Amino acid sequence: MKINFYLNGKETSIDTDPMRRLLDVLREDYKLTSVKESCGEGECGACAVLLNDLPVTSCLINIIQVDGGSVITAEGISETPLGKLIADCYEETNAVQCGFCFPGFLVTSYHYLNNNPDLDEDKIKWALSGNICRCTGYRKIIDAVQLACRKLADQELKHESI
Amino acid sequence: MKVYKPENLSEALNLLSDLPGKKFLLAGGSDLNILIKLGKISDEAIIFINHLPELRGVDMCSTKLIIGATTTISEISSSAIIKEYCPYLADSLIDFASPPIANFATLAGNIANSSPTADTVPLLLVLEAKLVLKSVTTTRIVPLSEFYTGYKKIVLQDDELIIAIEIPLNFTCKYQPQYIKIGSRTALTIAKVALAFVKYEDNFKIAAGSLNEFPRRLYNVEEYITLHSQDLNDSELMKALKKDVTPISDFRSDKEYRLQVCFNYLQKFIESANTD
Amino acid sequence: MKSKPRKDGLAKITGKCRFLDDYSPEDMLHGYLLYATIDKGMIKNISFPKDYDLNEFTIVQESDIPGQNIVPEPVSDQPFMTKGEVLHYGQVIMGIAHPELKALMSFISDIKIEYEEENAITDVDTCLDDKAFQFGECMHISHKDSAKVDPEHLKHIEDVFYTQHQEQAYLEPQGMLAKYDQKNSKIKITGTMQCPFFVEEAVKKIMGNAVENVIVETSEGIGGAFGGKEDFPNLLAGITALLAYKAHKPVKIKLERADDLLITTKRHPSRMAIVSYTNAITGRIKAVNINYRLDAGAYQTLSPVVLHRGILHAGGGYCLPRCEISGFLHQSNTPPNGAFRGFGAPQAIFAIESHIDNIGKAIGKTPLEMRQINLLRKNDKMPSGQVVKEDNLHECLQKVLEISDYTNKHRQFEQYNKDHKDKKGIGLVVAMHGGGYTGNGEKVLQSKVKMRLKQNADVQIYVANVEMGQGAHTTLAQMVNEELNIPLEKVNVQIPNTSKTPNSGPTVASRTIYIVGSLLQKLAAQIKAELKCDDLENYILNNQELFPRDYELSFQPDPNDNFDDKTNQGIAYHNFSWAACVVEIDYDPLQYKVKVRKCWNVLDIGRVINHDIALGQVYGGVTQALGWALTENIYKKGYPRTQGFTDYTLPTTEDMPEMIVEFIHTDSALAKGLGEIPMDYPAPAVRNALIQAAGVFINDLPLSPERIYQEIKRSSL
Repeated sequence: MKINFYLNGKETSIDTDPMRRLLDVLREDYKLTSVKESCGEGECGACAVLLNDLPVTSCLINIIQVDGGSVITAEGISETPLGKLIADCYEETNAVQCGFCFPGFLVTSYHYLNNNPDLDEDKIKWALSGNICRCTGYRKIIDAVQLACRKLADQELKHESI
Repeated sequence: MKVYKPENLSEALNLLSDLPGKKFLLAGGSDLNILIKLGKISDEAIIFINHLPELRGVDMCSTKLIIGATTTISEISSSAIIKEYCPYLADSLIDFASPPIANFATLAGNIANSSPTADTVPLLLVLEAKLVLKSVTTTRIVPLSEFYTGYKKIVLQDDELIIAIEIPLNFTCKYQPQYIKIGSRTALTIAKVALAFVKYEDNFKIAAGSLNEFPRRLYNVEEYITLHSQDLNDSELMKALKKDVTPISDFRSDKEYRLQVCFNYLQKFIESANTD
Repeated sequence: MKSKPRKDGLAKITGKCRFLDDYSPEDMLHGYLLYATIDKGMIKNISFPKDYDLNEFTIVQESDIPGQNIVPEPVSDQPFMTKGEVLHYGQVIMGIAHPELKALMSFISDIKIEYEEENAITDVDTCLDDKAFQFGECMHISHKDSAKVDPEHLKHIEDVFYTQHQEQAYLEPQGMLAKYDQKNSKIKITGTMQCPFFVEEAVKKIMGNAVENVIVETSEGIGGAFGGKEDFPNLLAGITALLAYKAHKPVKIKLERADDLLITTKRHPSRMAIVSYTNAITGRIKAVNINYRLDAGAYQTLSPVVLHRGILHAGGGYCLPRCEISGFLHQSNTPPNGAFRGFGAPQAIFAIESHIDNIGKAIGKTPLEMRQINLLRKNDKMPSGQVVKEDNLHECLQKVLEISDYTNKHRQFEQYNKDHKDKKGIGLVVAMHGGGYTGNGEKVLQSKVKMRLKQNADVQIYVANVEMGQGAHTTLAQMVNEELNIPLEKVNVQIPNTSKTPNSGPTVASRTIYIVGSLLQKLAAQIKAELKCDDLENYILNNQELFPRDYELSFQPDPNDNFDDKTNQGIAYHNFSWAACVVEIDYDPLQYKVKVRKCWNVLDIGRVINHDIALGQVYGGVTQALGWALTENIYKKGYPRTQGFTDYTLPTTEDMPEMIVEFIHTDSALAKGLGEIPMDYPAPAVRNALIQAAGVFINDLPLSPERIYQEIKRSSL
C-alpha cells in the first residue's frame, strides 16, 4: 500500500506492507535511528514520536495510520528553536545518562513545552509518565523541563509547527 | 494478514458482511498490535477504520452524549462536552495507560478488546452506557451491561461494528460517581481492581473491573445497600460482594487482596455517598 | 559551583549517539539464540520445518565450536551451547542467522523441539531452604573480638530474610555484532557490554585456533547495564562470533525484550538467617550468627564473587564483637544469576538493617538508639578483622538525622497515625560499600592505563572501562584535566577497544573512578613531574617533535593490604564508601500501598569530581532500589516469568520521591566508589518505615500491597 505523509516537515511516500510498525519504517527505511525499540509493547516510550502533533509509541502504530498525516522524530525536533532550547536545558542540568530513553523524552517534553506548558511539577510528571528511564531517577529530567518552562516564559517563543 | 482500507463506513460494513470468517478491526491498534506480537493473528483479514470520520468525535443531543467509536481516550478526556456533562469520565481517563497511548487508543477498542481489566468499562456501566452496533442490514442498541456474555465473549456479530457509545443524560446524579483504579503503580498500569460507584436518587449503581470474566454491575451489592442503607453490616456486605465477584489469583495479584480492596473501597464509597 | 557538562550529553539528547542496533553493515545477517523452553531434562529431537530452504540459514550448534564450549567466568561451568542436557529454561541450544529478520523469526517459531522433561527445582524458597541444593564450598568468616558470650543473659532474636530476583531492565536490550575477516583471520565484535576484555576472552575461548585475532570494541553508546552486561555478553558474543565465522558475513543478534527478561542474568534471590544476642539493657549486640544463601541458578559462573561480597557486607555498618558468617550458593534450574548493582550487598544489608529494627522492637530500643549504640566507629573492627580508619559512617548518620529532622518527624508521625486513617512512617538505615574488587582482586587484575599526549596537545585516555551512562568517561577526563591542566575539551577517553586499550579491568565493583581514575591521576602527576613544566599545553605545542608520546601505568596494590581468601580475614576493601538514609512514606490502608514521599541521603564518597553526575548516580540508584523494594518482580510461584514491561513494573515519573542528597568529606583527596552504594540502603529504609506506618514487620521483598495485606491479615489473627 502506498502511504503518503510528512516526515520531519518534508513530504514523502512509501510503498510497503501497511501493517509494518511505524518504528521499523522510520529506522529501516528512513534511517532515523533516534527512534529506539526497547520493549515493543508501548510500555516504555523509547520509541515515542509525534504523530499529527501528538506523542505516540511508534512500536504500536502501523504505517497505515500515518497516511495523510505527519510524523516528527527527535531528529526533526532537535533542529527547531524550541527543540534546541530543550536540548540546551537537558545539557545544562546534565540530565542524560545512558541516553537510550532520551529521544523519547525529547519528543514528549517538546510536545509539553509547545502547548502552554505549566511549571507545575505534577503536570510535567504526568506528561512524561509514559517514558521510562532506568538510569536517572527522572529528577534532572524534570528539572530540565522546568528550566525550559522558565526560559520560554522569558523568551515568549511562539507555538511551533514543523 | 490482508489489510482493507474502506473509503467510507458503508464500504466498511460491506466488507464486514462479505469477508468470510473472523475479521479484526484496526482502530488505534494499541491492543491489536499486541495480539500480532503474540502471534495471535496470522492470516485473518484486518479492516482499517481509524480514518473514517463517521466514527470519530464527541457529540450530544437532548437526551444523550454520543461518543464516536474511534474517538481516542485523550480526545474524550479533553473534550469540552465531556468536561461539562461528564467530568468524572474525563478524570477517570487520566491514568489510562500513559499519555502517548491515550493519544491513539480508542474507547471502542478498549471496550471491544474485552479484557476483564478494561479501564473504561466499569464507569460506563454505572452511567448506563449503550453501544450502537451496525451492520449492513441492521442497527441495534445494546446496553453495555449486556455486551459481554463470558470471558472475551461479546455479542458483537462478525458482520457488525461499534459505531458509537451513548451515555444517557439522565444521570445527573445527586451524588457524583466515584471511581478508583488500583494498579501496581500509578501510571502505565493494568487494573488489579477497579470500582465505579454512584448513588442516583435512592438507587445505587456499582460496577467492578478485574474481578470477573468481564466488568459487571454488582447487583447483589446494590440490592443489599439499597435495602439496608440504615443498618449496613460488614459481614453481610461481604457476603453480597462475594456473590457478585469471582476474583482470581494471577501473576499480578492475589484473589484475597482483590476481594478485600474492593470491599474497602466499597465501604469508603458508601460512607462518602452517605455524608454528601 | 556549576558542574562540567557531560561530554556525551548532546549526542544522546538529540538521538545522534549510536547504539548497537543502529549499526547495520551491508550484507549483515540477523541472528537469534534458540533456547530450551523446559526447566530441566534432555533434548530428544529437533526438527526444522520442511517448507524453508535450510541453505538460507546459518546454524551453529555445540558441534560447530572450534575452541572450547565453556564460557569463561570466575567458575567456568556454563557451556555456550548445550549438547543435549538442559539445566534451565533459556539454555542456549543453537545460534541461527538469516538475512531477513522476519524470515528468521518465522523459521524459529516453526522449529519443533522434543524434550524428555525431568523434575526441576525452580521455586526460590524451596531452593534456598534446602541444603540439598548447595553448590560447592561454604565461605566463612569467623570473628572473635571479645570473650565468648553467655547467651543466657542476652536477648536472643532469630530472623530469616528473603529477597527476590531483580531484572536490570537496561532500556537498551542486549546485543552483539560480529564481523569475520577471513583474510586476516580476525573477528571484530561491536556491542553493548561492560567488560570488553571479558568478551574478548570468551570469543577466543569459543573460536580456539580457528581465528588468530579477536578485537572487541563497545558501541558508541551503551544503553544502560547495571551489571546485567557484565557476563551475559560473553555468551552472546561467543555465539554471534561463531555465526559470523560460519556465514562469512556480519551477524547481529539483538535480544527481544521478552527473551532478555527470560534468559539473561538477574540479581540473586537471597535468604539470610540471622541469630543475634543482645544485651537488653544496654542495647549492645554481643554476638551474631549469619547464614547467607544465594540462588545461583543452574550454573555458578560469577556467583562465588557475589557471595564473597555479600558475606563481607553482611555485618552492615555495625560493630559485631563476635560473629560467624557463612555463605552458601544454591542451585536451581533457572538461568544463571549474575551481577546487578550492589552485587550481594543489597541483599545482605536489607537483612541486617531490618534485623536491627527487629532487635530494637524486642528490647524496647528505638531504631536510632540501636544504631547509635552499635554503629561501626573509628578503630572498630569489621568481621573481616579490618580496622575502620575513619568515623565517617557516624558523621553520615548525624547529618541525615539533622537534615531530615528524623526524631521530631518520628514523633509527629506517631501522633498523626493516631488521628488519621491514612498513615505515615519514617525509616532510618545505614550502609557501607567496599570499593574495587574484593580482597586480592585488584592485585590479581593488575589494571593498566595508558595516555597519549598528541602533537596538538590533545590528551587521549585509554582504558577498558566503558561509558554506560554513569558518566565515567566525562569524570575520568575531568580527573586528568585537573591534574594536567590541559583544557577539558582536549582531554577525551577513547572508546574501549581491546586492540588499542590496555586492560584496566572491567566496569564493575564501583572501581572505575576509585581505582582506574586514581591510577590515571597518578599517571598524569607522573607525566607532569617527568616533563617538569607548569603549562603542559604550551610545552607540547612548542616541542611537537617530541610527541605523540604514550605513557602507561599499572596498578600497584598497597603492600600492607593482605587478605586471606580462605579465612576472609584482612583488608577486604582498601576503602569503603558510607551512607545513611532516612525515608518517609505514606501508607494507604485501603489498598495496602506504600508511597515513598521523601528520601534523605547522606553519603561519604570522598571527593566529588562532577557533582551533577554524582547526584545522578544517587537519584538513579535509589530509584532502582525502590523498584526492587516495592514493585519489581520476575517470579511468582506457580507462574511463568514476566515477559515484558507490562508486568515487570519499573518506577515511572509518578513514583518519584522528593530526594535530598548531601555528600560529606568532599574535600578528601581520594574519590571513592559511588556506583553501587545508592542501591544498598533504600529497601530496608522503606521496610523499616512500614513498621511505623502499618505496624508490620515484613522480612522479605518486595513490599507489594498483596504482601502487606497478607501480613496484616496474618498478624491480626
